Amino acid sequence: MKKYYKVIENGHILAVGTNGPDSCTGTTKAKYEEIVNAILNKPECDENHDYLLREDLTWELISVDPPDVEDAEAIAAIEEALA
Amino acid sequence: MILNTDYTRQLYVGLSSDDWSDFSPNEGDVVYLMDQSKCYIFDGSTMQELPDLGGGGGGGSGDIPLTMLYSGDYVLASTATSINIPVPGDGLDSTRYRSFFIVRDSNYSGTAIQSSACTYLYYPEDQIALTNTRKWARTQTRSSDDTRHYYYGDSTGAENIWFNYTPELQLHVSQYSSNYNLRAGTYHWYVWGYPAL
Repeated sequence: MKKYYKVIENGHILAVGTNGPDSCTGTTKAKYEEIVNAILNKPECDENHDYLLREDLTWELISVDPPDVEDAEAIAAIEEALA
Repeated sequence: MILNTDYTRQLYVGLSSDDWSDFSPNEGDVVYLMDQSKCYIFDGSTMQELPDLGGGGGGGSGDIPLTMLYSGDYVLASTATSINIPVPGDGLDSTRYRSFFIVRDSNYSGTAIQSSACTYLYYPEDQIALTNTRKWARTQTRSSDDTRHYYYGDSTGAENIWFNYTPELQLHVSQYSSNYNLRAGTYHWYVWGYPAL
């Protein structure tokens, strides 16, 4: 039997999933499907903005941070070391 | 048992054979294709199908009794620089299974995610193997002193994968390519077990 869960942070739904570990916050199949439907119908926006999904399934427009160049450089260094 | 008993031969897992172009096995390497539930062995020039996979139900009689232990979905609501996909690890019994394959699959194109499949393989305890290519998984062992946080970036540069080896497995997926972001949408994951000898 499928288990449904949701991931909530600061009042926003980050994700929903199926068959995660028992520690996940459970939800119902109906609610899972409702959230998935909302995600799949997310409004379009430009690359400098995004929407966060509130728990009431409305969308909140936010600005998106620029890429973290230092992280990218660190990743590249590890990648090179592992090559 | 044909497969990889001394780790000198590679075991690959792929979602499908729709792109063999970036696949370069050595003689004796074995491929398991998820979409066909079939295995192939490379004879030095071509891939030859192995008969009677067996598989499923905890072993089977085939040459490579891979068993799918779990599968699930993770639906991301907003674009993210990384995601942790929770995967149940408590039932991964290292006495029954020598290795596990964890496959993440998504089908996004465009700037966010170029690759369609990433596959992970780890061994219990102090040996771990982690793989990720655009289409094919390949075993890669790591030493025991870096078991806590694993990383592999594929050659395409399309994305980078982190894998935390914890009782509850986490697939940590991050991307540092053109726009640094993982696209909202559905990620499928699978865990396959390869029995202990």
